[in-house]
Amino acid sequence: MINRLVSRRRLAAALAVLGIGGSAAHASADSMASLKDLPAKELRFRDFFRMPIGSKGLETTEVLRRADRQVVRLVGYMVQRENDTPGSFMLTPIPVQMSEHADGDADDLPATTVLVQLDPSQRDWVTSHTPGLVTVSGVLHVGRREERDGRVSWVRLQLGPSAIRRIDADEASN
Amino acid sequence: MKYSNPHRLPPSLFRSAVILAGIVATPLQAAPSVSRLTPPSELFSSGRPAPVIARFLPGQRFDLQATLRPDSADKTIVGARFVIDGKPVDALVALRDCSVGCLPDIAKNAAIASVRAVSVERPGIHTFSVTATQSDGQTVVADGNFEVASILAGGRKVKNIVIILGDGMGASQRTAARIVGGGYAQGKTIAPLAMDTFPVVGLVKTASLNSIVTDSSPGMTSYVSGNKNNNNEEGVFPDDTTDFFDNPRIEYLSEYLHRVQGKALGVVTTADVFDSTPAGNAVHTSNRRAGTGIVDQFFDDRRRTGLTVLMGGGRKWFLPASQTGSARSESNDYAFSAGDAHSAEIVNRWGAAAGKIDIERDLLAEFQAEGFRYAADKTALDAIDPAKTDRLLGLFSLSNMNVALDKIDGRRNKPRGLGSGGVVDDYGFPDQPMLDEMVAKALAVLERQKNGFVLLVEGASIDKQAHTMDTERWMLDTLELDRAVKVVQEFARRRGDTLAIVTADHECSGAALIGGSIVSDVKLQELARAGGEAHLRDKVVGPYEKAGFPRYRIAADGYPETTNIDRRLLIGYGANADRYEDWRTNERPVQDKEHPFLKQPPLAAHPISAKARDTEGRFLVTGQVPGDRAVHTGTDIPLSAYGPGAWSFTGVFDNTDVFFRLAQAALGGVVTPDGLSPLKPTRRTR
Repeated sequence: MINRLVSRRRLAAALAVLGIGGSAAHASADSMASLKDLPAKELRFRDFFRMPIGSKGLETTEVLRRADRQVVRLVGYMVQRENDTPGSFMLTPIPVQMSEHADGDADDLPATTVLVQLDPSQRDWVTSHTPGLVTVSGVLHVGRREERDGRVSWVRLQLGPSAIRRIDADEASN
Repeated sequence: MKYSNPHRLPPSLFRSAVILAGIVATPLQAAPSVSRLTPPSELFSSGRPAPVIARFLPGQRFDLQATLRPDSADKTIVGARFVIDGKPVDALVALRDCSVGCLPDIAKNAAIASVRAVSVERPGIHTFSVTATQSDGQTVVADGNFEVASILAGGRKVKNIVIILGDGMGASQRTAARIVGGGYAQGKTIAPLAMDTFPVVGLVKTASLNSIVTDSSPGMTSYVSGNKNNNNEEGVFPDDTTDFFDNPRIEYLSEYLHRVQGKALGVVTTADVFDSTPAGNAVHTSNRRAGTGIVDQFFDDRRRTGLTVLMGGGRKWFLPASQTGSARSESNDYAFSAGDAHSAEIVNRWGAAAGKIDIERDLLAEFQAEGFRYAADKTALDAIDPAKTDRLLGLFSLSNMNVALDKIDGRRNKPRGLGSGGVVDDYGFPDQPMLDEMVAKALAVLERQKNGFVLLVEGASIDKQAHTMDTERWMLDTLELDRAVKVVQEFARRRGDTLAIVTADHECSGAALIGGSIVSDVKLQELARAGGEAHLRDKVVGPYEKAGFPRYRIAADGYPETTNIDRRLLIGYGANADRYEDWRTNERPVQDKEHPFLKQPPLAAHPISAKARDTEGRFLVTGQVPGDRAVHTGTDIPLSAYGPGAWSFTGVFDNTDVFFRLAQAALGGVVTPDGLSPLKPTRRTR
């Protein structure tokens, strides 16, 4: 996987845990560089929307609304995608493997799927899939946005520049 | 057949023409060319009159189209006309230039000529041609052919048609489901699948228009249009524009039978309803991923298709964009311009809706305003009285419905999810119906249609779970489909006027029953902890007589009490990506203590691999295909038939043949197929 990415002049990136904790703090997009210094609030997927889902769409909870534009920490699974998605990956409360070529948007993503966005300086980085649970921290954004691939996201997590780091092929093979 | 333009010659003949031209010292004169002629034909592509690619029913509608290229950048195409069997087609020829909106390899001064919704009544092979005129007066002619099939009259007509499609369900998936659901004793089946009791079986060839390996779009549409489509395309032939919805169309079985007989259409699936198989019964698009436009077209063209029942997942497309959870997007919506004859003629001649870019549309409300009763969960579905219901919409999840294993676990209150609930609770839809329950309600509503109906029933996640090589999940989805088959069979048996077929669109994953485990489940877990192929392969896999007969105990709900039995059935994959295998049912990793939950190691130290499941056993099965998922295969697939007309489904036949055999039963009536005529009495000679 890594060799393939390197040969394509793309950068493989590995997640790094931001060792932060404590109460929530407000952050803006231009303060991402100092994100590491901000405390993060633990946010759980199950607190996003009223469950079970009713007969129409989703109802956001007060917890999610309060977390909007706050620094939060999420524990979840990286969605295993078929296509490279530079600059972002999806995080879900349960493991999901997508088959975009065969199924497109007819997927098994739960409603609580979070689009995790790398720092703008890393928008061309491809984050390799990491199995198991991962912890990510960043600034949460709630609301509709259409992504470059046409998908609509409702909850996004903006990472800072130090949330991930580059790895080379030698390191990956070890 | 005539060639007035050497650009249309087959390559070998073209070389000969150049050599000949050199000998006689006559330079070839530049001329416009035809780079695509639709319907597709070998006559156009290779110059050979056979095999005939496009085939239609008498009166079935389709579009004529040609891509026309001037011989230089300073010229244009100024006119085009189509001829069928020497007679001009009496309809407007829409000429669209390619200054914008065509594929990158199409010159800006190229043009696309179309005539929409033509049809031919007379059976037989027909030749058609396009003649294009360039701005300097030069012309080019290109020929193609198509066939109109004969419908034999005189038999008893079937009233209802039910197509039951196990997506990705090849022979192996059926066999595995039979072993798990029914079991074997000394080599004999204890309880057959319902689909095994269908009296007629045939083998279907599944290639699409552009590949020996089809995807689900042309896999479905071949059955209900009689024609092959390109992969990813539904109810259309390929074209050279970037618009997803303007391709040359082919009339679907639902549209045809609604137009000539007033039949209704039902679509029931466990997938998102915009997915390839359900959409491939009513929606015309070259992009199976255009969700917003696809669900809009389901509704907008309901009077052309007779759409009466629509059930599955996919609520995300039905919610206005401002409603949280909506996936509606302008980028995949559709609208036909009234000012451009190329697309306006789709509205004028097909009678199709014009569409609109309207992501704030509340499609859920519009369905209900049109008289569709809406069910959001099983409880609501159960509460619907079919005797008082003309139309039915069921949307039981935002995207795909959960698979049978997880739905059943939810009903059994088996915690497999994140918290104390099941996976269905994690998804927020704990009350989803099973496919057989949806089908029972659909049949009850559709039975009230006095002119009959066409019903599509899809078990979608046999394929989706085979892609991820999640053996137990596709096994149970096959059992779920078979329970729906039984419901349809009982309906058809009771009525006597319903033809039902069970088949697939293609096989998925190259699944193979390689034998059985020779160890208990407890021992299997021990071997998984020891890890490696020496333990998980050599001490587990029992081929031949070592496999014995795995015995799964079936609970009252019709599904195995557990799939983690001793001496379990083992499945290998012939079209697999790399995967780790421990043979056990995949639990949610949150229950797996081996996962690094909150141990907070540097996550960069995690193995970086797409092979994420069952890694603890360290039994890596290397695959033959790149990527992380098993793929569709091009092997033939079984088709079983039940009811009047079933006997026409014997032999080995093309997927498009299915359409004509269904149509024969509905239009001309049930006739004895070729080769099955009764033995003629012989005269005694003295």
